[in-house]
Amino acid sequence: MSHLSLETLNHYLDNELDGAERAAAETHMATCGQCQRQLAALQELFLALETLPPAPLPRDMTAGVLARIAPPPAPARWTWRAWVALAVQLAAALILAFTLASPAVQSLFAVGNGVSFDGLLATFNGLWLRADSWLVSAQTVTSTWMNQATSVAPGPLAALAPLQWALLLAVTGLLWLVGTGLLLTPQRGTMNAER
Amino acid sequence: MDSWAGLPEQRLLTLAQRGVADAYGELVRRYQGELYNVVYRLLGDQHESLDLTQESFVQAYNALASFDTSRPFGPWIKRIATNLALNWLQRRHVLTTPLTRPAQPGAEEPEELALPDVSTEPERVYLAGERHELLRQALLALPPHYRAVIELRHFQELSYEEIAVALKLPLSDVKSNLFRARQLLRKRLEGEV
Repeated sequence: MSHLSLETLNHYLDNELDGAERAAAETHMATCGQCQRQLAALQELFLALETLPPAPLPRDMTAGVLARIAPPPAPARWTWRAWVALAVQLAAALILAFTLASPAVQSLFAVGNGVSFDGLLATFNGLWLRADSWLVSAQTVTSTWMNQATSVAPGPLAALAPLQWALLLAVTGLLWLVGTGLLLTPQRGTMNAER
Repeated sequence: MDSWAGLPEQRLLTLAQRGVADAYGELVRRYQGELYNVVYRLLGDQHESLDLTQESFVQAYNALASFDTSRPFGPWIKRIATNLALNWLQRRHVLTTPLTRPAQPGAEEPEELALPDVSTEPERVYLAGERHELLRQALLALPPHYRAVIELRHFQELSYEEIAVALKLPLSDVKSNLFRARQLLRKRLEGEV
């Protein structure tokens, strides 16, 4: 009787024999003590490997991995909201610039037109007195700076009245707040939606 | 942390692909033990195994964009770790003491050498009642290409064909390497080596 080879026993335990080979091996082993012992010895090794307990993890490495993974490049967040915000800001800035530069507005705030800055100050005497002094000081400083900066050809900004400056700053700030809010809102939404 | 722990793996993978680092952190927490053991069985050195396990997670993250999230993460990252560990073994094999002596003319296979940092005294290990430790040391004393097939077959439960693909070896080499690796393990465990 020819015994099963060790290779065949290995393949038998690995379930790598086809149906006929497997049946023939089992038929042989049913009556062959030597092959049974060989198989048992091999099974013992398989069992030892399968029951080898895992080595304990010396330390948690989550933080180490997270520290090493570079944040992926931020995907473009130019959503329609961002484009609308940008367009609104640009349009508002253009409108503001043309409005301030128009002769009607210039004449509205010109001294001697009844609604001049001096006239407003006279109307709201107590309330605006302090503002007047502050704005005049600001105008002086600004005008000096503008004159120096535009000494060759003074631009229209150099001729702005204090109230115009105040309006300009207020509108610019408002636009900045609105634009920033529009730009940041979708990002917050995206972050919250991640989970 | 608890909210991440409750999420299924597929969801974590999708979020990680979108760059949510905490989702990947949860995957690291889930697989770090298994992955460390894959590397540790191949290298046998705690510090090297920790380094390579971490490196495996980093490499997997960098390749995550191409990963099909409908597939399980475990086998994929174990394959990455296995390859890294085998490459590391090859480099160490070249740079330091060879793990095998050159085969003598006519010899069937190269003769294995004990790793310098691993105790291989069977009596001492037996006396300490550490049969598992003896098996670990027997595994580490195998040549790297034998260690690899044992790892893939017995611990990662790959078929012969899958091992051949993973190691880029002919099927016949996989069969013979596995057979010889087991023979060497048996001899070592029986105290013949």
